[in-house]
Amino acid sequence: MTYFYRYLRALIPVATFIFLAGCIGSPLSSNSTAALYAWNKQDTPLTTRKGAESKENEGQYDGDYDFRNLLLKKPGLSGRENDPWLLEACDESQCFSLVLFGKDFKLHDNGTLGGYASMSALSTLMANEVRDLPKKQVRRALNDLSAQLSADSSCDYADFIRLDPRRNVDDRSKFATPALYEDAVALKQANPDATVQDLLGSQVGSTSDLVVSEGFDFDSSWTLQVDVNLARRNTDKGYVLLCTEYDGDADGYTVDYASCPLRAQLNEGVWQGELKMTAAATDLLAVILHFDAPEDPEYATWNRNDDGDQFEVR
Amino acid sequence: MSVVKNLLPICLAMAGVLATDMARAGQPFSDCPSEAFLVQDSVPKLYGVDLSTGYVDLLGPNLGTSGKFNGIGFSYADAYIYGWSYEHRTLARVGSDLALEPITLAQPLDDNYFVGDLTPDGAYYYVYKRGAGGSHGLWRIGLLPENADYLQPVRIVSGSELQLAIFDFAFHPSNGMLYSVTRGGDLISINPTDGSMAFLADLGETGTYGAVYFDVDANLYISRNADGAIFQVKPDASEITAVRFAQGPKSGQNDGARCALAPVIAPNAATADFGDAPDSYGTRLASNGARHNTVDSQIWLGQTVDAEAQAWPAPLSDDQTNTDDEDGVVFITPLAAGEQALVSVTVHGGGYLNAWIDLDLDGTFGDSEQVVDARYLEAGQHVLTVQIPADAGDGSTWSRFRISSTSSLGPQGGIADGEVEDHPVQLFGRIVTSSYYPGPQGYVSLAYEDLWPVAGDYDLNDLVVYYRTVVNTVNLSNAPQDAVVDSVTIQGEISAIGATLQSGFAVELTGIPRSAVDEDRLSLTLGGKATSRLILEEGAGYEHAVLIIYENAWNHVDADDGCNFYRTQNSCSGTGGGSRFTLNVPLKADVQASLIDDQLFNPFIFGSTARRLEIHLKNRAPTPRADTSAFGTGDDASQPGAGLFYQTNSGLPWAIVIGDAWVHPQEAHDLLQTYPGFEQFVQSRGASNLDWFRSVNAVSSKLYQE
Repeated sequence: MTYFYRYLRALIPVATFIFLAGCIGSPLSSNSTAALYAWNKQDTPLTTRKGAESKENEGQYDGDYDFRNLLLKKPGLSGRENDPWLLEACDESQCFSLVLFGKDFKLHDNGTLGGYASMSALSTLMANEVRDLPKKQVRRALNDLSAQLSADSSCDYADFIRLDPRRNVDDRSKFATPALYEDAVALKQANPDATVQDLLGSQVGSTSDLVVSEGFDFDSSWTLQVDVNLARRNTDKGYVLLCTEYDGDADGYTVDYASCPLRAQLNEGVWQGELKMTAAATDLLAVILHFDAPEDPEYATWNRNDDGDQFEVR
Repeated sequence: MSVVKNLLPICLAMAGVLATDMARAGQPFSDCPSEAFLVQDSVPKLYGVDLSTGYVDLLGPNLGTSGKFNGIGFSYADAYIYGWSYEHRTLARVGSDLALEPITLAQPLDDNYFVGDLTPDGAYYYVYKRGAGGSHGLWRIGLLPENADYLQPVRIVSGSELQLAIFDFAFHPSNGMLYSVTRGGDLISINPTDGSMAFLADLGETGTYGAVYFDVDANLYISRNADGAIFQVKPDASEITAVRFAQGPKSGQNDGARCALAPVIAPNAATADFGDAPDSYGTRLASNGARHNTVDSQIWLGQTVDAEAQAWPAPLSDDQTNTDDEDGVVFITPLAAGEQALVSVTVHGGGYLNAWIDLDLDGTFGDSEQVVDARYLEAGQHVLTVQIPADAGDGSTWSRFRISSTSSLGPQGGIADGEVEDHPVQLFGRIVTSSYYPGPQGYVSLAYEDLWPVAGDYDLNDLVVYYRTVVNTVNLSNAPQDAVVDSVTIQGEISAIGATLQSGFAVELTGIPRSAVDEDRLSLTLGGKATSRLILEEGAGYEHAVLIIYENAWNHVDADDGCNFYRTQNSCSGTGGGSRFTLNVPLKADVQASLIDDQLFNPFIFGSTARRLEIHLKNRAPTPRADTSAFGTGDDASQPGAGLFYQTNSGLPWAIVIGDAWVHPQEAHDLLQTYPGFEQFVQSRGASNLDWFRSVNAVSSKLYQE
C-alpha cells in the first residue's frame, strides 16, 4: 500500500491521470447506496458508498455520495482516466445511474479527488443507452447524446454531467427543450430501462400531424450544370470524370473511380451537360484523363458552398 | 503412387492434417489428404502440393537420408508414404515424423528405381526400370505380412521387354491399371499382372513428367519437371486431352504421391480464390475455373481477396452474400467498339496482370479477347488503356482480371498466388457519356405506403426499394441539346416489405417513347437470372415506356420463419438476393436526352392483382393504365388538372424518395417519431435538415435492426 501511495503522490503534478469524482449528487436520500462498477464487470461492485446524511456539509447535500478518498483507498484505479465506470445508486423504490470518467475530475495534492457530477433521470437514460457499448465507444456516444440533449448542441459530456436541474433550476434552460428534464423524469418512472432515444422519440408528434405544402415533393435532389472547356490548351482525346470519393490535395489525388457518377468523353476538350445530384453531394473532384497520358490526370475541385450549382473546368 | 481401398475417404485439408501428424514421431499419417506429396532434390525434401492451384508447402526439409527417395506412393492401407531409398538401395517408408525408415526385402534387388507406386488396396508396391539387366523391369513387392509374398520382389516383366521413357506412374483408383506419360507426351497404361502396355493418346505435351497422380474421380494429374506445369488428363474419356490445370514448382528431380481417394480440393477447405463469372467462362473447379491459392499469397487486387471452398459463378456470386473482394478493378470509361477505354487497377504487392473481355459476347474468353497480356504492375493504383476492337459486340458481358507472380496465365486454371476478379461490363456500339444517379455504387431509396387512397401508418416501409439509374447518351456535338439517349439502365433491390398486400414495382421512363425501345435487346435480370416474361408494358395510349420490374415483390424475397414481413420486424431479416435487378433498356431510335427531365424517372408500385391501382411519388402522374377514378376519394386530395398527385389534403405523400440506402423504421413505427429531424426538413420545404434520414439522426430503438 505504501508503494502505491508513493506512486500516486508522484503522479499528482500530472492532473490528467486522475480517476474519479469527489462528490456525486443524486435525487436519492441518505438511506441509499451507490455502487461503482468497472465497465466490463457490471455485476460485481468495486466499492460502495452510503448517501450523505447532512443537509449541507462542505458543499455536500443529503444523499450525495462521497468518493473523495477513492484513490487513497483503491490506488490501483489510478491511471485509467479514459475508462468509463458505471455508478448505480438505489433506495428501496428506484435506481439512478451515471457513467463516469476519471478525466472529468481533479486530483488534489493530498491525494483526494475533487469535482462534481449530477446523477439524474437524464444521466440514467444516457447510461441505459450506452451500457452495452464497448469501452472505447462509450465516451463518443455520450458526447453525441449530450449534444442532442443540450440547447445549443455544444455541450460535451463533461459539461453535461455538471448540469444539476434539480438543484439549479436555471440549468433547465440549457437543455434542448424546456421540459426535457421533467419528460426524462416521467419517462424513467414509467420505464426504468428507457434510453435517450426513447426520450427523443417521445418529444415529437406523428407524421400525420404534419402539414406540407402541396408543391413540396420531399425530393432534395438537384441538378449540377457541368461545363468543361479545355479547348484553348488541350484538345487531346480524353475523358472527364466527376467523382465523390477521393483523397489528396492539389499535389495529387487518389481517386476511387467506382465513385464517379459522370463519365464523359471530351470532344476537342469540351463537354457540357448536367448531372442529377443528391443533397449529400457537396464536394466533387473532376478528373481529366487523356488517353496519351492516363497516368498523369488533371484535377479540379468543386464545392457547393463555394461554387453553387455550376462546375466549370477550364 | 496411390492406393484406393474404398470410396469412403475422410479427407482433410492437407495443411491441417500434416501439421498434426508431424508432431507425432514414428506414426503414420492419419488421414487421406487432398494435397499431393512431392519429393524433390538429391537430398530429398518433402512438399505438400495443392494440385488445384500448384501451391507448394515445404513439409520436411530432409527425410533423414543422404540419398534420393523416389518412386513414391501413398498407402491408404497404413497411411505411410512408400518409395525407394537410394542410400539404402531398398524399399523404405516415411511416416508423420518425416524420417525415412528402410525396409529389408526378402531378396535384395541391389539397384535403384525412380518409377513406383502402390496398388489401390495397399497390398503391393510396384517399381519399374527400363533396359536390360537383372534388376531392371517391372517388379511387384508384397506389403501385407499375412501373405506368403510379403516383401518378396517378383519381376512381372523385364526392362528390355517393357521399354518406356517414363519417370513416374500411378494406379487408377478403380480399374487396377497403371498409367503414365512418356517423355514424348504419350499417355500409356500398363497391366500390372503381365506388364503389357497400351498406347492411349498423344497428349501433345512433351517433357519429363516426374510426378503423376490420380484423384478420386479418376482424373490424372501430370507435373512437368521443366516448367512446373500441371496438366489434367481424363484417361476414361472418349477424347483424351491434356488441359493445363495449374502451375506448380519446377524441378530437376521430381516424384509424387497422393492419396487417390481424395478430391483435389478438400471439402470446406477455403484456400483458393475463384472467379464469379458464369461457368461458361470457366469458373468452377470442374470447369478448370480460374483459381488462385491464397494461403501464403501477398499479391492481390484492391484491398482484399477472399478464399472459397468452391466457386460461386454468377448469379450465385458470393460477393452478394459474403465479402465482396471484386474491388481492385474499375472501368473508368464506357467500353465502345473501336475506341480506347481506361481501366483503373489497384494492386497489392505487385505482380503480372492478365485480362480478358468477352468481346463477342459468346460466353467464353478466347485468345483474341485478351486485353492485358502479362503486364507487370507495381503495388498501387494504375490507369491502363485498353483497345476495344471495332467489331466488338453491343451488350452486357463479362471481363476477367488475374494477377499473379507468374507472368503467363490463361483465363482458366490454377495458380499458387494472386487473385482473379470477374466483372460484368457493358459494351457499347459507340462512344457514350454515362450519368449515374445517385452514383455507380450507391442507391436512393423509394419508400411506399400501400393503402392509397387511404392514408397508412406512415412507417414508410410497406415496400422499400433501393434504386439507381444510369443514362448513357451520345453527344452529336458539343451542344448539350444535341445529346441523344443510347440506353438506360436501372438497378436495385428490395430493402423491405412491411405489408401483406402484394405489390408490383415498375418504372415509367418519362421522356423515352415506348416505340424507341429496342425490344430485341431489352433485358431484365432478377437475382442474376434473365427473365423471359414481358417487361415492356403494352397498352393503348402509352407515350412513355413503362417497364415492369416486379410483378409481385413478394415473389423475390423470403421472410424468415415466424416472420410476417421482410426486414421490418427486428430479427426478421429473411433473404432477398433474388430481388436484385438490372434492367437494360437500349434504344433503337435517337431520343433527345433533354426530353428526360428527371433521371429518377417515374417509379411506382401497383397492385399485383389490380394493375390499375398505382401509387407514385408525390406529384408524379400515373400511367395511362391507372384507374384515376380513385383520385379525390379516401384520404387522397390529388388535383390532376393542377399537376398535383398522390397527396393528402395535408400535402402528405404515399411515397418518398430518400437520397441514400436508407435504414427504414421498424414495423408500425412512425416516420417522424423515428426520424425527428424530418419535421424541420418538411417545414423548411427541404431547405434544412437535408440529412434527416441518416441513421445517426434516428431514434435507434425505432429503426429496423437485422
